Amino acid sequence: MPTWARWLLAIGVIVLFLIIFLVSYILYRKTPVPKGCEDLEKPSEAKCHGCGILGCHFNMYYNTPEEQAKMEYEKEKKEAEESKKSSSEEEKKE
Amino acid sequence: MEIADTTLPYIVAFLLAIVSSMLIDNVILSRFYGICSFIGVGDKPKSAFSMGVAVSFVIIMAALVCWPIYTYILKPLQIPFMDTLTYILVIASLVQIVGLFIKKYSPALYRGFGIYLPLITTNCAVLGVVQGNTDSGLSFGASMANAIGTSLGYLIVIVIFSFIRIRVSEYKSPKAFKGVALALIIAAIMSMAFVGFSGMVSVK
Repeated sequence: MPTWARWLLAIGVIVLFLIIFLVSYILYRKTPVPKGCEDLEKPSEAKCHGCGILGCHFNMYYNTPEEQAKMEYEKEKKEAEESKKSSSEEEKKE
Repeated sequence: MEIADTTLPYIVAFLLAIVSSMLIDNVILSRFYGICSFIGVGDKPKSAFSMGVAVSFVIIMAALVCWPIYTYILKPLQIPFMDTLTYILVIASLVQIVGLFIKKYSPALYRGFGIYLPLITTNCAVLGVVQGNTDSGLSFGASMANAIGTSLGYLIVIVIFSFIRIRVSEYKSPKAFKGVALALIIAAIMSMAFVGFSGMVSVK
């Protein structure tokens, strides 16, 4: 077989598989997520805990358990202060 | 113990080939494929098992599809040099199609390992097994034995690794070693342990 024919066949085979891949990708994206599995599409423990991207605030699993507990404690403290502020403001209004 | 295909029944040679790929020539600890998913997902037994099952499934399906493509399409058309690129596209398409069927027809399976399927597309263990099958000139049966053994070996090692990491995480370790550093040390020690299997069985 001449070389140009082999290369043409090679390109043809690659284009064919590329088309199959694109079609399967589009079909996969268009298929709706099953009921009850919507939470899997969001960043979560299962998806994110192997990730090393520090800039993402969902990457909670990069932190050690102590750092994670500290972050949660500070978050709760902040929420408590905000709720205190809002309740004191309501009392003032009354 | 050396095995020659002509002296043993086919099924025994098939099973010994599986054992050889699973333990002696382990995909992670001997061939060092699939390390990223091994380190990244191998810290919780449940996710490790799910990932192992998903990778096993994809490896077996990929071997089932890629060997005939190489033997009946690429080789007759005299374009065997396109094998790597073809395998990449075939594996990616296969993962998308499998994910599509699981999404549509099996929510339980999707919840179990559906989210890991896109991660496996880039897993070099899948490509490594498929490429190794054709580069070594293995028959279809030997390719399937290699694929089944490799996938079982991956599953066993990732699950064992996750249990070891859980035990190690219960104890204090130096801050500089926490996380991936300690995981790599554990993997190195496991790899040395698996060297003990070498020479146990060889299949000609």
